[in-house]
Amino acid sequence: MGPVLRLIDILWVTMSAASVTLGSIHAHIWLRRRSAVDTRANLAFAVLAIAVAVMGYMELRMMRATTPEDFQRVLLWYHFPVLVAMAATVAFTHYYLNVGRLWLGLTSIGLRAVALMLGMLTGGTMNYQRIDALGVVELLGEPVVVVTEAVASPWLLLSQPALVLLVLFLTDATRQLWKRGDRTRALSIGAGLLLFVVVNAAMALMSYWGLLRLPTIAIAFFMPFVLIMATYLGTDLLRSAELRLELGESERRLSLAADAADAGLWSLDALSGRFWATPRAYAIFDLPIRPDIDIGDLLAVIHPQDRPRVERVLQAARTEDGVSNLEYRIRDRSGGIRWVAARGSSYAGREAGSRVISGVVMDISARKQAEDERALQRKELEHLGRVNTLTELSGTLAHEINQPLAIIMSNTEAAQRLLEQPDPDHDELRAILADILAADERADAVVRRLRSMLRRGPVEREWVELDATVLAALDFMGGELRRRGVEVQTDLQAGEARIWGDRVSLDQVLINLINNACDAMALRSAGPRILTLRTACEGRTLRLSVRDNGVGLQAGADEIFAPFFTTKPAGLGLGLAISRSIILAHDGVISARANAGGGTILELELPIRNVRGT
Amino acid sequence: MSNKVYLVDDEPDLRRAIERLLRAEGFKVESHGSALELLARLPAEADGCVVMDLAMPGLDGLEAQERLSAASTRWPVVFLTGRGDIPTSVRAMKAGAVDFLTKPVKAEELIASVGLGLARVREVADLRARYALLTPREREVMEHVIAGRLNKVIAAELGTTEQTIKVHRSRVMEKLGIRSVAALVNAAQRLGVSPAGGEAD
Repeated sequence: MGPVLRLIDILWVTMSAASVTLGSIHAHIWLRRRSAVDTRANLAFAVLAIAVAVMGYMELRMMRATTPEDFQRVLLWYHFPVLVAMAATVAFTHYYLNVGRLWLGLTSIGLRAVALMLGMLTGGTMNYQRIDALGVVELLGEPVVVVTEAVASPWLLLSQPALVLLVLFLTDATRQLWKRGDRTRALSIGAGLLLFVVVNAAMALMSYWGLLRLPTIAIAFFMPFVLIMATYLGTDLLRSAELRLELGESERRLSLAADAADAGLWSLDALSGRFWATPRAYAIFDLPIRPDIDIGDLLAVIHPQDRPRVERVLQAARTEDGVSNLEYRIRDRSGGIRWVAARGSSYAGREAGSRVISGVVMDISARKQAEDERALQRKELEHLGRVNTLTELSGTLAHEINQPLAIIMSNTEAAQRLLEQPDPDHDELRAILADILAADERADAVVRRLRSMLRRGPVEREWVELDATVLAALDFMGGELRRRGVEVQTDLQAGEARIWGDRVSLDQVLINLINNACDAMALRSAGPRILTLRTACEGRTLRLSVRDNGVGLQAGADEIFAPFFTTKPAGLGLGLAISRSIILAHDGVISARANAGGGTILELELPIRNVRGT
Repeated sequence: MSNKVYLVDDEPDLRRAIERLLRAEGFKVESHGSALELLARLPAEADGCVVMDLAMPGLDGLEAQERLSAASTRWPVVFLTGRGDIPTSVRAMKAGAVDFLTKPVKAEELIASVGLGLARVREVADLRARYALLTPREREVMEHVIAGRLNKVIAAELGTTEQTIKVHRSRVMEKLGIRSVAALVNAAQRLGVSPAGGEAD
């Protein structure tokens, strides 16, 4: 048509080029990032844009066609990019906007594909069976080629239900967007696409019925929507860039906070074992800051006793999401032991199938040391309490040891004298030896008991049956109770219910309570002194009560548990305070109340354990 | 000759051991689990030595000793104790205890103390036998002498001469085997003989 570049050529080439450019950008995004995030929307857009570009080129070819055969050939191939553009539209609506009924879209594309195939198979195109003549009309003040005489293809009517279905699909998608509150997108994309389809369909039908003589200019309607979609996708890219900046900022804030709290941040790729951490975390783990540090290096610095525990948690984090808190020891390079607290959470990583475990780590050695010191102080105090109790009971204890010694001595001397006789009585000698042995065992039991009460050492937790402990304490206090003329009544119903505890400490509590009861009853001038011990199981709770008929509470029921509270002239006032701390350490409760018939009731509640607690 | 021991201890094992020891040593032993039991079974006249635990539920050793002192004749008591505190032992000794032994007690100590207690019983029995030889008049004179009266005063009181009183008096001393008035007062105390008409004025 001559060398002069005309407006139609410029417009169509520009639109095609713009589509190709936009499509290439998103094709590139899809190629680069498809393994990390869902980029199906980018792919759909790229396909749509490129299909539109191809459409633009073909439309230009048709507008410049020289023979009907030439027109018909281009038109034949033209329907392929149109079909692809339709499919891409459905895909984009579905993947990017997350709306639309996929089956509607797919049915529409299927129908259109069938119409296209049938048109081709019958030797024509979807539009015309045969083109007889071409004519020229004016578009934008320039002459362009259009079909003037042709035999219309019946298959074009079949393609129309396809368009109706597409209209339905888009209407439904727009409605969903609108309902979701996404009004802007609903209007710009949904309504726009809808308008495009309707206009195109109207144009196709009008050409079919010969009402309008216009070249096929679908790209002009497609183009604005390509631009709108590109804008939205571009906005998303912009947003992600902003997010990255914000993320960096929030990471800096987090680091600052972590540094201020003297905490280290770390992250671990569960599959590759790759390890990343802040310098502070490296320092806490006492690992060199090197890129090749992995999970093996990390586990190697963990104390062997704690390592299995940490490995178990890591193993679990490899398969399931969750948050876990761990405290464990680190052996640093100088051989020192450090306590660290780590809080970690595990979640699916960016790459498919990958898992990330990340968290915070803090050096809690100082806290642990303080805890240890506190525990030690408590044990010291308990020990002091036991020594104090034993001092109070020293008279009875001396008797308890003296008595067997006296029995042994007198029996031995009797035996010596018997043996000097001409015909010693063997039965009597045997009886004497049996008595000596029994007395020896009695003394041994007392000494062992004393040793355990004077022991200072780590807490040894074991299964403790309450009833047996009560009986043992009563046995130990037997001499004292007899000396003080106290009558003991017991009603022990706890059976074999056990608690996981420190036997010596619990013993100490019982002896203390019995001793207090004796003191309270000693202050009472006349009448029988009755000490009642009861145990019972109530659900998961063991209950023990020590009841006396002494002078009763000399102060508030809570006040008596305060340290240094005492009513005894020589008392330290630590007995009940220590007892309470022991019971609390066993997750129990101790309380005091007045006995209805005069005197006091001290009550303990302890949880029954079936499994070992810590 | 008496060799009887009354043993009181609330602990059966220890009681049995001491009983064996004393038996092996040739004593006749009667055991009791409490002081009350002992007091109920004790004869009126002291015929043996009491070996008693000091700390016992119910009636304790010292209280039992008081009751024993109230009897017509003094029972010799040997105390056994788990812890020998001084005030208690002083109290026991003042009340006339033979000994105050701390457990575990050595056989020799116990046997020596029991021997001492039995000797006292024998002395009293011996004295009693001698006292039985006195005539009623001599007993009368003795009662006046231990009241601290002079022969002259006694003679006036009994309506006789000072010389006669002197004779009676030397006979009393001779029969009881006593040389001084102080020893006579002591013997009278152990015999349960009280001075006539109260103390001298």
